[in-house]
This record gives sequence, C-alpha cells and structure tokens, in this order.
Amino acid sequence: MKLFQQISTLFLLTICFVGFDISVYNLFTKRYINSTSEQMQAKSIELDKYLPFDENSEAVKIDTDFKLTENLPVVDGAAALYPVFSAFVNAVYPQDSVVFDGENFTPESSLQYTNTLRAYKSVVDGGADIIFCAKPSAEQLEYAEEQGVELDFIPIGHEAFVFIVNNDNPVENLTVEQIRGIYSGKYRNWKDVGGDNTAIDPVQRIEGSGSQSVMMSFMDGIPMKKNLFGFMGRAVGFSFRYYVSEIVGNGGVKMLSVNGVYPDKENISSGQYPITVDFYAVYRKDNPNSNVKLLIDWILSDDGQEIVEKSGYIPIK
Amino acid sequence: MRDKLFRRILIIILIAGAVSTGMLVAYTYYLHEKCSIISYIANGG
Repeated sequence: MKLFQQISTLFLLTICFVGFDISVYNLFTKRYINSTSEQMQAKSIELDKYLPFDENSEAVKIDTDFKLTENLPVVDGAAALYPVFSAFVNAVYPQDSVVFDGENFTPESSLQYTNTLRAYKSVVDGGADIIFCAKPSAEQLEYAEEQGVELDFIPIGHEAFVFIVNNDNPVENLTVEQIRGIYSGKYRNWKDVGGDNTAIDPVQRIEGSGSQSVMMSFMDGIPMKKNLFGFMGRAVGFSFRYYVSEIVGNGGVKMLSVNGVYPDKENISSGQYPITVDFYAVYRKDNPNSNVKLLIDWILSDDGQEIVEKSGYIPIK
Repeated sequence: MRDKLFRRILIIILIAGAVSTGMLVAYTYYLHEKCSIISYIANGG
C-alpha cells in the first residue's frame, strides 16, 4: 500500500509539472514566437531587401536629372519608411555614398537606418541631416527643446494608420469611438463591439516609436489602459498600412475597416478612411548644409513624389 | 520502495520540474522582448 502511495505521489508530481509547463507554453510562449527573419526581429525591416544600388533590391528605381555629388545629407528614419528614403538615395546619391556591411550601414555611409526612436535623437544631435518619420512623441520634442534645437517638419506623403486583429477574429470593422473605448478600458470584451465573448487584449508599442506616438495622438489625451486578463482572449494592435500589408505581409493578421471604410489606397487618397497621418522629412532649422533643402524640394517634386507613390504610399501632392 | 530511494526520486523530480519551468519562463520572457505586435496577433494573440 505504501509503495502504491509513493509511486502515485511521484506520478502526480510529474504530471503537475508537465501540465503546468504545457499550459504556460500554450497560453504564453506560443504567442510570442516570431515567425519573421532574425534581421526583421532585430531591426523591424530587412535592410538588404530595399538596399539602394542593388539590382535585386525592391526599392523603387526612377531616372531623375537631380543628382547630389558632394555634401550629401545623411538620411535616416523609420522602418516603415526605409523603402522610401532608400529609393531617394538610389535616385539622387552616388553609389559609393552607401556602405552596407551585410548587417548595418557603416558610420561613413550617407544612408543610415536606426528607426524612429534613435533617428529623432540622431537628427537633434547632428548625426543625421534629414530623417523620415511620423510625428514625434512629446518626449522627442522635449529632447529637441532641451538641446536648444528647432526642427522643421515637411510633410512628404501620407499613410493610413490601421488596426489589426488575428484572421480568425470575426470582427471586420470598428468605429473610432469603439477603438478609443477599447484602448481606454471602456470595452474589455469583444462581444461589446460585435465580436465573440472573449477578452480584448489591446496591445501597444514602446513609447517613442512612430506608431505609438500616432496612437497617443489618436487617443486625444485619453489615457490608455491594458486589460489584465487580455492575454486570455484576442488581441488588437495598430501599425501603418504599408508596413502591415507589404513590408511584413503576415497572412495571419487582417486590417480592420474603421467607421465602415477599409484602409486601401483609394479610400486613403479620397480621404474617406478616417485615420490618415502625414509622414515627414525632419531636419534641424540651423542645418548649414544647403543640400538638405535642395533634397527636400526634389522630394516634393514630381520625381520625388513618384517614388513615394511607387513605394506604396500616398503622395502629398 | 525504501523511503530513502523515494526521497531521492522526489528531489530529482522537483529539481527537474523547477529547472524546466524556469527555463520555459525565461525563454517566454526572451521571446516576449523580441516579438512584434504583428507576430503576436498572427500567433493567435
């Protein structure tokens, strides 16, 4: 009898550990497995896919008469806009101005990529001459002010700010009021907004990232709250249309219509999609390099705007 | 089963269980730090 009890105890204990680990794996671990490449995970984009002057590159290539040969402005920016500013460099800069070591751009390269968070710091500190990003966060503006730097923001195109859910989520549309309600904690269950009876997990990005700054602006001062038990249900997240549909292209997620309008190029161009944002060329007002303004003028010209459009964004003009 | 053997097996199971759970939690935290919103949602989140 004692032997039976001992074996049962050992068996039950083993089952408890195995059961607990399987639950942790199914509830948490499995959800965080990143299906993208190492480079995508580290940098949010595959740099070599849109590398300028590379014949296999997916960066847009156009012919233009405007060329820069010296005093090249160092450009940097957001992951979602890297294909665009890489294409600008491809069209206007000499080939030897870009040095890529297979993983990163070397310090002497006129094309850099550090993503929004670091790009804003870089333009303020003088590391980059022009950065291509969405609106800055309050902290990024504050940093510029502390350093006594005035930044100029020139809109060069626009894009839809989109909300995404898992493909299996039956919800196809949310109103602006519902989205604000979800992120403010008013709606915590998908059934409150026309979906299944399951918790809503409103996920956010790190502060200072381009999409997080746009989201905070969209919330218009309403504080965002997390749903403590959201991980038990289905998530909703946000990003930029082109980044979701083209750069990442993950078939496991879908973009939602907002106020009944789907975020496709036609609805963004016509102004029907309700949440569009401008993206900017940002530079220091006191930048002495005259090529900065020349380059931006060219970006706003027909040739520059052709790159914006062919890269998948909506031209500003 | 002798009590001494039982205790030994019990300790081995406890240690193995604690180590595997700890490693799984650490691995999950590592993935959490690297996972993008899009992957998280696509995975069923």
